[in-house]
Amino acid sequence: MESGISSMAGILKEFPVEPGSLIPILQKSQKEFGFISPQVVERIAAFLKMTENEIYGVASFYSQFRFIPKGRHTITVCLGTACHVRGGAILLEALERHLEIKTGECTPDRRFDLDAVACLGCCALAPVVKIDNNIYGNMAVIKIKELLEKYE
Amino acid sequence: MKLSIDNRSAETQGPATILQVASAQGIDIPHLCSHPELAPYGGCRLCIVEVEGMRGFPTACTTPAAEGMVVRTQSKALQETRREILQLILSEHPSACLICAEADECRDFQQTIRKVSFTTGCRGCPRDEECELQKAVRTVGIEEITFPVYFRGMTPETGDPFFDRDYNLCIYCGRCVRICQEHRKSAVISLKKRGRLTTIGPAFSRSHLEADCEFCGACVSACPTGAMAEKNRKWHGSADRHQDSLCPLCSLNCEIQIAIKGNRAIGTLPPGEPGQAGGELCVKGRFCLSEWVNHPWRILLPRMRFPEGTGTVSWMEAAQKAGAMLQNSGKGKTAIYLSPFLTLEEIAAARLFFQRACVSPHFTTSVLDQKLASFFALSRKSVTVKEIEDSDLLISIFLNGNHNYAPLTLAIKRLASRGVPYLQLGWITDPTSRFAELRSMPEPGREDRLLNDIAHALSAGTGKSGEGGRIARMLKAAKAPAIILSADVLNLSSAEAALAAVARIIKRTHARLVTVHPYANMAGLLSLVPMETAGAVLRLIAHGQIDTLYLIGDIPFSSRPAVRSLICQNVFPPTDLLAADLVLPTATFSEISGSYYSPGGGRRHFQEAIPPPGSALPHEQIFARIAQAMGIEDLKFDPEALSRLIPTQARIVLPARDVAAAPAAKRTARRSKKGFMLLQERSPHSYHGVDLGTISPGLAVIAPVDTLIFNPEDTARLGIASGDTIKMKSGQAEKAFPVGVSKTIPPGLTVLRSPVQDLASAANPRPVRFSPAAVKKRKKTSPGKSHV
Ligand code: SF4
Ligand code: SF4
Ligand code: SF4
Ligand code: FES
Ligand code: FES
Repeated sequence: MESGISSMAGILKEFPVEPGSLIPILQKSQKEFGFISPQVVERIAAFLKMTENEIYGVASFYSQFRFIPKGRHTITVCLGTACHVRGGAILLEALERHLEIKTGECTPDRRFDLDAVACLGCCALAPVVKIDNNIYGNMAVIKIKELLEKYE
Repeated sequence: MKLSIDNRSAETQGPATILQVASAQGIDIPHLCSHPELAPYGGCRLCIVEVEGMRGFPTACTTPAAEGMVVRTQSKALQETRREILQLILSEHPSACLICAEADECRDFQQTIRKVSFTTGCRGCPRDEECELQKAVRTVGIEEITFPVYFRGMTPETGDPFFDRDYNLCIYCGRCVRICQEHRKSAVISLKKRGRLTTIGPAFSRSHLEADCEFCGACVSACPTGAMAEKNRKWHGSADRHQDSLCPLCSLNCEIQIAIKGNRAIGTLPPGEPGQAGGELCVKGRFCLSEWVNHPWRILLPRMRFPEGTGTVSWMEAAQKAGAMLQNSGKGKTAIYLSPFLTLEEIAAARLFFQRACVSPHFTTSVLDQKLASFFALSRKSVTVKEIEDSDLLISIFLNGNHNYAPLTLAIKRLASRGVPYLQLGWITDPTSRFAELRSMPEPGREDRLLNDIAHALSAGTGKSGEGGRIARMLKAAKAPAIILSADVLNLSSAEAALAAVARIIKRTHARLVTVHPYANMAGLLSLVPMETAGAVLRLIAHGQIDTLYLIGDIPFSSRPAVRSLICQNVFPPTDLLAADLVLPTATFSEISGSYYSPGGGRRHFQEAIPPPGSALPHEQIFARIAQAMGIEDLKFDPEALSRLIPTQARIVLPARDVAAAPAAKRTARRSKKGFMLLQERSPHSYHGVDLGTISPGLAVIAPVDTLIFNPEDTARLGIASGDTIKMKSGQAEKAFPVGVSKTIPPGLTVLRSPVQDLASAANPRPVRFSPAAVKKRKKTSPGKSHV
């Protein structure tokens, strides 16, 4: 993270100290490091004189920001109303167990990271799992293992 | 301005929202997210109204009232929409009990057992009957929920001290988040993520402890539901009544109200409508007081020591014994330790009593040393926190506002966020640090130098360079600067030099001074009783010149000193090692009426709320009983007569200078490259000689004593972690301590807090005489662990 922190100083240099800088700083940091780490949040907080909690609250509102390093493949489980009714949460749990990580984490081999969203916009296919940019509708727990094997 | 609400005319002076005008008129518009201390939010939409000439349903809590406005709050369409909105809220909140047809009977008999199978229901909720959601359901009227219901299934968070959080009950009104951000300016919690995945808490998945929460409890008071619950009163149900009082735990004596159920003080809150109280208190006033009052270790009966052991006795026997001990004590051979937490009435009674019952008694209190006396010499000039609210420059000197001095830290935070420059001098990061324009960290061991530089630059003209010169220039340029001095400065060996420098700075700038200290009514002791320093009395004891030691709310020894008899009059029992001959149980906070000298020196009164437990008695009554047993018939301590003995303004008289005190230790060397500077502190969290951490397990977690606390960078570098034990070496001295980690401590410094009662005791010397002092760490060798 050492080099990360010094390039962080470079990012912050470009912005005035005002609340409006927060989103652009977050965007730049994410572009630079691939995700928003606790160290990055700490630096932004000190720069903008806000608390880390405020920064995280704002950042986590936007699904474009991620707080864990990316895996080679990103699994997103939908927990929107339609998917929830048809077992989205059960899918998420099964994936957590299968990958031995929690939601929002990345497997130690960096193969997969796992996340949940509120609605993917294709409720007719519920329950839905997205891997990278591919949507898998009508998912079921028994299909998980086979599906993951497609991704290396 | 005049308007009409539900065909009734309403009037308001100055700007107000429709909701405020309506509630002033007694018109109840259902609302959930609005809170008197917070800016209008418009989140829950329950407060919708109709306003003639406005389209749709504006929310009453965000719409300003205007001249000639015609408002309707109860139309059919409104009620219909409110029912829809409330149903939406309830579709994500366990609601079986809220819409149950048998709810009314169930409150009395709980006969509806069938609900147990799928919900715990309202009867198991800590906010039952005080919940604003229940109230809203009752006013709006809901029989069923037509939306699909959703249970979030989140694990309740119970790992932090003082309060638990069950976000399954949360309605996302945001009141907790807003009170923490807007009102307390702490911003420890945020709304995280969005939609169905919304959660509330600190950054990432940190606990409140990890996020340096102040545990002020403002969020808990602000929550309209049972989502946030105080651990201590979770199962007490709602309070029967509230009694206004004053917090006795520091010099600020915050206004509080005591929540009472039956004869128990179940909690303490800031003033205001109990469900809507703001957040002006610190953790001690908000959470620790009820733990203190209700603690199972309290002494309930007088106890006496007999040759074969100790046993309880009647008040009659106890008073006779105490009287005999005082009578058998020679002239000038009785020493009385008085707690600085006593009320003015208790202090006046003690003085009256002992001057009649003994010949030339010595009065002292264990924390009163020369440094504290100098601090009080300066404190005579102190103004109140309110009086600095028009300042244009704030400088705090060695203020550690962590878990302390809430009204002061709030004032600093609020002023600074309005743009008033704030400078913080000292090492410890506290809630005000984020607002400091400049943080100055003097070199440990040379800390008086910066203050002297400032004082010098003020008299030598503006040309001075360096930090001192810069601060002096700011002070000169300011019209109404304020200096905030905390008793934390007394932890420095150079305290007297620092205090002298502050006095010079004030003289040269006419800055206003606010002092704060943890010895609530010390001004009362110094005003009403001829005090001596603790050191002077300690030497009398060491030279065998004291027969009888009478400890009143003060426990300065951890083992028995060489005296013939020892009486301990307190709320909690002293350690067995003290071998007290007589232990007398006293009433305490919430059980007594009285008054304190408050900051600024004025006298403020408070009333008792509940009776004391067991046979505990107020101090005045104990003195009266002993006086009677001694045959001093006329000492009755009539409250009115006592009150007349107390001036309305404090008049602080300092103890004689303790000339025989050991000369200040020599300054130690600067720290070596790998070493640390050790700052030894007297814990500011005590009450009547008892370390509050022993009474409040939560306080022991957030403010540990006898622990070496380091910055996380240092622990990472040393390869040690919280909970390890390490040895600390300074010169020849070596001692082992557990390790703690906190970001409030700067790298290179380590802080060791001692519980207050150990300090005066010769048996428990501080590990190093000088503070801060250079020390080295040695990791304790335990199997499998290597030397550092
Ligand atoms: S206890 Fe106080 S500081 Fe902590 S989260 Fe609640 S309001 Fe914020
Ligand atoms: S925890 Fe309480 S105060 Fe905070 S958002 Fe939820 S219901 Fe509102
Ligand atoms: S700041 Fe002082 S008076 Fe106020 S609640 Fe805390 S300890 Fe009590
Ligand atoms: S609810 Fe899952 S895609 Fe909309
Ligand atoms: S009280 Fe007005 S919107 Fe919530």
